[in-house]
Amino acid sequence: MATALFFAFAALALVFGILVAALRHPLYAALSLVGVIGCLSVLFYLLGAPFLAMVQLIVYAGATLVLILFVIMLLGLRSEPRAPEAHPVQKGLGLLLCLNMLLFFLLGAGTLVRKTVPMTGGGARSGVEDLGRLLFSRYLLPFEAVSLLLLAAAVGAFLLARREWK
Amino acid sequence: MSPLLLALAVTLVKIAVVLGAVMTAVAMMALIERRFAGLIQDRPGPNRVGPFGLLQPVADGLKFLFKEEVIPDEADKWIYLLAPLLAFVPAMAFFAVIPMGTPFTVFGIVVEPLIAPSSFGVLYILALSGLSVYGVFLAGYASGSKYPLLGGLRATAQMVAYEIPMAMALLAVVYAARSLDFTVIADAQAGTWFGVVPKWFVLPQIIGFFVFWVAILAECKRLPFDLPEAEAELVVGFHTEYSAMKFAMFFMGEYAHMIAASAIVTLLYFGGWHLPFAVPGGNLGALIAFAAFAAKTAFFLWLFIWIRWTLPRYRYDQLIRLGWTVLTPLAFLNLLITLFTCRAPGVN
Repeated sequence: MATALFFAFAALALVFGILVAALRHPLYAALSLVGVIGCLSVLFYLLGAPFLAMVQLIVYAGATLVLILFVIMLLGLRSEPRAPEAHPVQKGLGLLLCLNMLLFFLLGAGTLVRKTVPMTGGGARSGVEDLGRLLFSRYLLPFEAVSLLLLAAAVGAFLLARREWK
Repeated sequence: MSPLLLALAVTLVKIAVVLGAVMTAVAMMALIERRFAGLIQDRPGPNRVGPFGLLQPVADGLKFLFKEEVIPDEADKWIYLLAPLLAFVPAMAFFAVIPMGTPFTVFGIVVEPLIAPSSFGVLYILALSGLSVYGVFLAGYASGSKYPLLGGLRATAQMVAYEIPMAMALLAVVYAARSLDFTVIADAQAGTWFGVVPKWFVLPQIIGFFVFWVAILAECKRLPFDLPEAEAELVVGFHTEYSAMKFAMFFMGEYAHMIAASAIVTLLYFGGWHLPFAVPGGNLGALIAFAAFAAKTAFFLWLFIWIRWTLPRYRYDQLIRLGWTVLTPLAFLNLLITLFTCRAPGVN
């Protein structure tokens, strides 16, 4: 049951992912991204990480994507004009890179399949305790470094926006 | 019957019962709101249909069903049709993790009055609260008209801004109860101080409760924060172009959101189903617990209505300033006080 759900939502995530790139209207593309995030959240839950599943929804769907959509709506973007035709060399290089990525992921998935983790559904434990313990012991330094980086980014964004109306 | 099938059947019955109860409550709220408005404004309110106007929601529902479905020419058709669903479904989904009392026994089966027991209910509520922006936002965008667009923009900025103080106030409760599970949070408030004062979180976290309540008024887009639908400026804001059942979806979503919010306030700050005195065990105790929970929830629903018909509307810049410069610092202050007054987790 859990396995069938996992593959169904994985396939749905792929469909939404393709739509993000394929749809010309920026609003539709952003909404497809919300779909991808929703599917990923379900996958996290099925893999026994409900905390990650919820945080995925709170941070990405509830905040980041809302801001992106907000900007799209403020600018009143309706439809993206057709991009100019790419140079044949660009097309060839792009195709090569895509094939390379595909190969990379196929090989990566091949090694992952051998270390499959049983799907627990995560009913009893939310994983918050384990995650908290790890973040405040083994990964304390990277965790603090990341928060410092975010603070720097916030200050930088504030400065960039402020310069306009000094 | 195998245990798995039995569990499935019990869950399906619970979902049916909870959905039915919430939809009935939504219909009743629509009537109570108007009757109460009448009371405050010294007029009768709707009292023609049935005794005390009790059948008014039925009449309204029938009217919504038989009205013509209008889709504006300028509308973005698919998103226009999707938006009412996105407003309604998250509001109903709140009830999956809201426990409504203590376990009781039916036909020898112990039933917990909760659809999905989960160790991360608080996070689930936050996630749904974040997702409930989409219905309003997309309705504003897809209508292809300027008033809904302005209403949608206002609603989005308001809901994103007030989510921060709301989450910070929640964090203090989670710290005090040391759990993200609503049942554990409610049980952490059992018992009394000095034998009379209930150990509800509202007493040590009075600031947190104030912040949370104001943030919830803004999240539910209720007066004094109903700027997204300020009728003097925006007709009715994001749902101006919606009619018939699609309008009813927004309407029901708003009331379901209010009911869920009242239940959550009860669970977080007013002890859920706990009373400051001992109650008997067994099914009678479960019944008393449910009655206590329902009464507390009903009180907050009434408070919603009372505030709506008492206070005037804020101006939009005042609303945003209140959120960022008053409520957010207050929520942090509450969190600091809680951190210093509660024992650290694991030091029992």
